[in-house]
Formats: sequence, structure tokens, C-alpha cells
Amino acid sequence: MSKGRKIVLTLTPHQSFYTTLYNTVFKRNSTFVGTIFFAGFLFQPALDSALTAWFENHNKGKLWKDVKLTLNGAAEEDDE
Amino acid sequence: MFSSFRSAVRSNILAAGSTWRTCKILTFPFPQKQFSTSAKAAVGPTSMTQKVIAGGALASGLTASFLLYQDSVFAEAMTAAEHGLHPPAYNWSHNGMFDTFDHASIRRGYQVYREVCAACHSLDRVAWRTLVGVSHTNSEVREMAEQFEYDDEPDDQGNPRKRAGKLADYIPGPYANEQAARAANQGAFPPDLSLIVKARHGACDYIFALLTGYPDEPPAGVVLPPGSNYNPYFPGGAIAMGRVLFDDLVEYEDGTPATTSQMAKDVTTFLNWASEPDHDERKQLGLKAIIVLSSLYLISVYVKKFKWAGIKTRKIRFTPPKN
Amino acid sequence: MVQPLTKAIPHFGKITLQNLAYYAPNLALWGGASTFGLFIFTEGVPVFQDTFFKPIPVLGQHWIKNPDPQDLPQ
Repeated sequence: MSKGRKIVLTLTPHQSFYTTLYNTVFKRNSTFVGTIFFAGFLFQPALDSALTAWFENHNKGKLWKDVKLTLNGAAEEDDE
Repeated sequence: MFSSFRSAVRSNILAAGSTWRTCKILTFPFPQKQFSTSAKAAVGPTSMTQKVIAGGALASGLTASFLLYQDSVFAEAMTAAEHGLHPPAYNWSHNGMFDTFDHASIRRGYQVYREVCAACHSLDRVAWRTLVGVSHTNSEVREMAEQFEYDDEPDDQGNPRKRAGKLADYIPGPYANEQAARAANQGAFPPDLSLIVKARHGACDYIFALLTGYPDEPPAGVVLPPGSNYNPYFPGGAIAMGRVLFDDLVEYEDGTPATTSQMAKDVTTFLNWASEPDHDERKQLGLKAIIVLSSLYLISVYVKKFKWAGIKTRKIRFTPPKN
Repeated sequence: MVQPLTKAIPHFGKITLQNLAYYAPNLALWGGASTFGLFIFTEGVPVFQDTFFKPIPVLGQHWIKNPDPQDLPQ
């Protein structure tokens, strides 16, 4: 069982960005799959934080956490 | 008249591409004499019996037409009055796809419910604990719950006991059961308000329009059953509940002027929250779901096009063998 | 016919020390990849959050939540 056509990219001082990317990520299946999982792991909290931040900013003033602050400050409520 | 009809049939059939033979089969088998013009029928053979029959038919036809017309003038079914006036579409602050409830409004709405609505309406499916972190703090809700008594476990002798309410309890209603509620309200049963916004056409708009829609006087000609009030938004117009919200009925702790419409808006927002406590989270998750699923869909479209491009654009050429 | 003298090197099935050493780097990478795969699907599990995710320097803040006890129905 030969491993098929093997693309050999030698390290040179002037190797391009894509060569580096290929060698570190795409060349081996293990690094490729690992990169996907790692990116997925980062993506979950990133998307969640970003959308929560947008959502809370979009509804600013209506959320309980904003209303709570006005409770004991007595009467400076702005509705509508 | 009939012949023109027949020619119309013929031309239709010819237009449809059939043969004249088909048309012949379609011609009517009975003698044409019976279908002579109406003018001739009027001067046809007459007798007393026929005159009576014709007269009777004419009279009953006219009577029926008159009755139908009379009935159409005073329609009582399928009218706007029967269905209730449709409420206007109000600009609720939680209308948008990604808009949450106004929680300050929920808080004021609970106050209106407690001080006004709770005299007659229950809120059976809402537990005290669900208010925590939505409109009140933990200690506030504990205090509210403790003001009500609940059945406790019986003591060692089996005597019933009472205890103060706690967060896990459900909000108690004003009446012990439906019969008690009817007895106290002249036979009318005030509906439970837990899911009322979901349970009515028009939802929030309807509740708000109903609460603020009581005119001072019912319109002229409206006859109401005893003990009922006129409200155009209520199907049938006669509602057992009278107008309950009047300006400055409650005093809001945040200083909001308690106008009738302000209280109606707040209590409607509160009841909408009671119907859909998952509302805010649902909209937040919906945003996430839309973004993730539409991205995945677009990626799948791209991948499909990419994978099929070679197959879709290939050409298969047949070169016949040369013998 | 001279019988060649053979001797089995230590092995476990088809795995020997030699080919294990050859595959070791790749296996290590697969181990890393599957760890991240596991992380993705255990992201919502409290035990994993406490043990692994909260100590992550910047990203860990996402799992650290300190709600006001007045906002909890307990």
C-alpha cells in the first residue's frame, strides 16, 4: 500500500503563507480534523457572546437587569 | 334562444377540436316544441287550474324574495357585532423578531393584576418562582407569597394545617372553584388569565382594546342581557365584566402616571409574559438558530454546486463505430 | 534446505515497537484532535466547564457566571 502521490514542500526561508498553512493544517488528516474541532470549540462561545451582547444592547432598558437598577433609585422611570 | 345555445355548444366543441359528429350526440333528444320561446308559452293553452298554479307560484316567489330581502336587512349572524370588533394593531415594544418584553412594564402589570384583576380572575398556572428574575427580586417574591395561606400536611392527629406560601407555590385565585366564582359574579365565570393572551384572537391587541374599549353608553338600539356591559371588542358585544380600569386606580412605585391606557398596556404585557414566559429566551435562541442554520444552508448549497459542477458541465459524445 | 533462523520481535497483534514509534506522532495529533472534538460536545456539561473550560485564560470568562442570588428562584 503506497501512500499515493506525496506532495513534498520543503522549508525555505521564503515559503509562502499558503505553504505554511498547507503544511501545518491540511497536510495531515489529523491536523486538519483537529483544526476543525478546535475552531468549532472556539466558535461556540464566540458566537454566543457576540449574539448575546448584540441582543442585550438591542433590548437595552427593557431587560430585567436594567430594570432592577432603577428599583430603589425611586422614580426616574422612562417608559416608551 | 335555444338554437343560439346549441350553436354556442357547437362552436365550443369545434373550438375544442372535436368533430361535428360528437356535437350531434350532444344535441338534446326531446322535441324542440317544448322549448319554444317564452312568448309562445304565455299564449299557450290555458285553463283555470293552470292560472291558479301560475298565480300561486308567482305569489310564493314574491313572498320568498321579500322575506329573504327582509332577512338580509337585519342580519344577525356573521356580523361584526357578533364576532366583535377587530382590535387595532398596537405598536407593542415586544413586537419585533428580536424584541424582548419590557420588564418594567411586566412589573407594573403584576401590580395592576394584583390590585385590580385578581379580585375576580385567577392565575392558576403561574408559580411565584417564575416571577423571580423577571419582574421582582427573590426576597420581594418571597414576601408576596408569604401573604397567602396554603394547605400544609396534616399534623399527627390528622387535623388540617395551613402554612405561609413559598416560592414553589402557584399563585392562588380569588375563588375556591368555578361554582363559587359563578355565584359571586351573577353566573358569569371570570376566565383564568394564565394563558389568556394566547387563548384570544388578536392576543395583546385584543386584551388592550377590550380593557380600554368600554364606551360610556352602549350605542342606541343595543339591547343587553341583565348584568352585562357593552364592549364592541367582545364577541356579541355583551360582556359580564364591567369597565374596571380608571385613571389613577393604582399608584405605580416607579412614578409612571397610572392612566387607564398605561395600566391596560402594563397588565397586557404582564399577561403576555404569563402566557409566554419563554418569550425572551425564545427570541434570543431564534436569532442564533437563524444565523447558524442559514450559514449551514448556504455552505451546503456551495458544496453541492462545487461537487456537481464537473458532472453537470461534462459532455458525453457518442462516436459510432465505423464499419 | 537450510531452515532460516527466525525470531519474533515483541509484538501485540500487528503492533510492534518499531511501527508504534513510526505512528506515534500521528497518533498524538489524533489524540489532540479528538480532545477538541470531545470539548465541543461537552461544552455545556457543568463538570467539564468547571474542570477544563473555566480555567482557560480569556475564553474561560464565557463559562463563568455569577448571577445575583436575588435573581434566582431558590
